[in-house]
Amino acid sequence: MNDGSPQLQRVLYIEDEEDIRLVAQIALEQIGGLTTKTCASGPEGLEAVDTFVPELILLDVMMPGMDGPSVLGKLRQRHARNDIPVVFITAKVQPDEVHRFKEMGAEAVITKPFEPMTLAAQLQEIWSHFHAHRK
Amino acid sequence: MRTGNDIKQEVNVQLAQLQRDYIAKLPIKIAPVNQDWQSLQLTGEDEITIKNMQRKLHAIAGTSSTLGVEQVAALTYCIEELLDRGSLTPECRQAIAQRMNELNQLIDSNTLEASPMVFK
Repeated sequence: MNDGSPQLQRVLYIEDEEDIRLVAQIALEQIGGLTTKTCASGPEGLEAVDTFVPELILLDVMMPGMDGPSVLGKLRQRHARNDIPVVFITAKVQPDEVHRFKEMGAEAVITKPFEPMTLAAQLQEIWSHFHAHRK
Repeated sequence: MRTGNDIKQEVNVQLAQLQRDYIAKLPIKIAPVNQDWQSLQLTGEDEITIKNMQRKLHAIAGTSSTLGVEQVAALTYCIEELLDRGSLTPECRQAIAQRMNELNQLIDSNTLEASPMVFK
């Protein structure tokens, strides 16, 4: 069903845990029909923003080295594509943290464990909401 | 031509394989946590080691719950929380030691199973 908002097609997922990347790839590509690229670190993900040109970025909060908030900061500060919606994904999230992440510029926050069968639909909904509010 | 059912079946086979592969890798994943815990028992309250151990436990907990390995997820979350209490009191250390033993026994038991992830 399409309510007239553009359909999400390209997602970049930045996550240091290989097993979660593999589940997400199946969830987004095979179950959700999205074109997906996964990256194992913040720097790798920031590079992929230029080459893969995602419409939405799914970003793990807790990563070694450059964590999710730092990646978002770098993307918003100096990147040519600094208006791509970013969705944080994290375990253990408190309501005040969700508020803090949104103030940083995150579009939404998804909690781990995510449900592989509905992850793509969740992102589509966030994408539609993002577009509706940009109009 | 592949039908919708073929694709669903393929996805389910892939998900089940990912779960089996993950369970097989757990002894390797838990080894650095055991090292941190041994180190903490020798050195006392080393902040960096505590943070490192928490980060590793957090990763295992998150992946385990995503892949339906709930028993491991529950124990690793529990140990992560115990480490987050600010001070490793003797009671806290005892509780961590007990959970670490349970975790290692569970992983070594070869009886671990993941809850099915089924694309319908």
